[in-house]
Amino acid sequence: MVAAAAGGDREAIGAVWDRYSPFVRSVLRSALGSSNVIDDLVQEVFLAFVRGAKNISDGSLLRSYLAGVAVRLAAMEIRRNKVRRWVTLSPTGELPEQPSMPRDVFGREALRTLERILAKLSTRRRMAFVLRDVEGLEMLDVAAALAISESTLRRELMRAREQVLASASREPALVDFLQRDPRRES
Amino acid sequence: MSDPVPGNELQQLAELLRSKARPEPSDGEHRMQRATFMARVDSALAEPNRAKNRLIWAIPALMAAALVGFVAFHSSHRALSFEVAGAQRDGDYVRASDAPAKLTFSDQTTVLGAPGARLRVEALTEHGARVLVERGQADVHVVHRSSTAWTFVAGSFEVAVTGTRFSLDWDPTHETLELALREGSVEVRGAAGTGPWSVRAGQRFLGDVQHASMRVSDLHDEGASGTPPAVTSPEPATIPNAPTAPAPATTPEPSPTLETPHATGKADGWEQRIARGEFAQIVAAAEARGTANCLSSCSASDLRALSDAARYTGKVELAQQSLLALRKRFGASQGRDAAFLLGRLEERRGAWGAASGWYDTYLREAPAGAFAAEALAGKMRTVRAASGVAAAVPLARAYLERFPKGVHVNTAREILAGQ
Repeated sequence: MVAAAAGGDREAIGAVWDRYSPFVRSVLRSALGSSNVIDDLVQEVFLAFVRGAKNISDGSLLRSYLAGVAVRLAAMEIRRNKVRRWVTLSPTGELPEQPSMPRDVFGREALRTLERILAKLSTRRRMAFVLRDVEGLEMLDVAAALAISESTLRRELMRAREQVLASASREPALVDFLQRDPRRES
Repeated sequence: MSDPVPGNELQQLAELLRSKARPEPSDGEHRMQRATFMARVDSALAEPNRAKNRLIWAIPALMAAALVGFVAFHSSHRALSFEVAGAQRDGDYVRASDAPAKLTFSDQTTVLGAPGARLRVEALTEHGARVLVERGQADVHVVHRSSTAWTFVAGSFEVAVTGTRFSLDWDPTHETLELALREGSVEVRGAAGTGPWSVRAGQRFLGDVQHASMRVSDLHDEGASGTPPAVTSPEPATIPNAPTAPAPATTPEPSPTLETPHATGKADGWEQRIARGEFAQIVAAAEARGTANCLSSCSASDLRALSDAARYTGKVELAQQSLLALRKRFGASQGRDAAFLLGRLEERRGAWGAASGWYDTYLREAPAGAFAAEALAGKMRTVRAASGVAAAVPLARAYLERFPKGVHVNTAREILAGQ
């Protein structure tokens, strides 16, 4: 499929879009929150793929390739909008309500708090955490996407997890959320 | 390479984030985004030289853009501003609820959003603005001045304006755009790599993303071209004074003012011409060659292009003939996708049985093909239409099983809920 796309096969390109656009959208949302530019960036990621498909030697690397492009574009967007914080990208700085947000008050508050914690991490550390622990990418793929060595990734992940857990333990909303989680209770 | 499994608390926090990060676009949004992307792909594939030129000019262009941005930032008072009457302004957004919302810009350009319309003023410059019509109808009067530059965006359509009066109606659910020109002229760029189309005073542009159809017709002579209307939107009540049409109803032609490889004398194949939106010209070329002659001797790629051009210009019979010839002459290797497209054509005509048969053929020949999900969804729809909801239940189940994140899951669930 990648080889066909590299040759300009329109249907193969469309198939790549169909298969991977939800994943790319998810990565961008994890990085940027509910930004208005996500739709544009999804398109840019796949256009970059169309332009660079011939350089992908192994089709199994496609997912990490797309993740890498998404990460770079997200990082550029973040730099471009330094005044806006991670996730809290609405004009008012408040996290917009979304249908998919947890419906209960505690869940919403926990989510806002967690997003504030992640916003304090560096872009690379945050993306390492998002791609590995939230999106579930393989370590090798995350390292490739972030263009860092495996040992550096391991360090970044360890520090990201420490920071997240340490901050979460100081936030009443997250402490309550974790205590209320059914999996903890069982 | 491995790393320790995150603890239970981290897993819960990750799950909390996933719960927010998963909202998927609706069916309509997904189709629109895909169509927009494929249009950009078509453009990129058809004009590699232009892409190279873009790269060559990227650095100076970026520097120029940075300079423009710097200047714009430090002289923002020169950019247009606007006021809203009849609705609340929420940042860039203006939503007209029960009453019309009037946007008056500092250059006296006005945009009147009909009740229910949702508008977004995405960017303001000293020469104009970029306005998104996210839903509903807007009546626009752009005051013409030297270097006036306004853009109105509706879904995957972009309307470039220098000075004119028009009404624009965007239905995001059905992805249809209706644009009626009262004064001046505009250029419309559409989905699937088409355009720009020039639309003049007294003409109406009808764009239908889902059916890949675009037409320009006379405001007073709807349907005079003999082809079925691309959309079924009612006559807008806001254009009663449209002037007498200066031109007959016509299939839209690309603007002659824009230079294309074809315009520079370079001979391209029909596939390249499809990418430039020269549908009518391709059909005319096939007719000049002799349709029967082409069907029996044209290459596979030309037959594919001819079928596309015929579909886009509403020549259903020619589209069918081209696709059938493709299957007959080139076999399954070239004809698999033709089976799917034949199903689409039949479904659009309401020939449920024939459509279902072609979808079956495609699914048999290419069970894991690029259109497998679409073909199964098409079969689900046509069986429901022909034989009722109960008959479509096994297909809906099969769809949900094979494509649980497919764009037609809502249709499948509706069928299961209605059994």
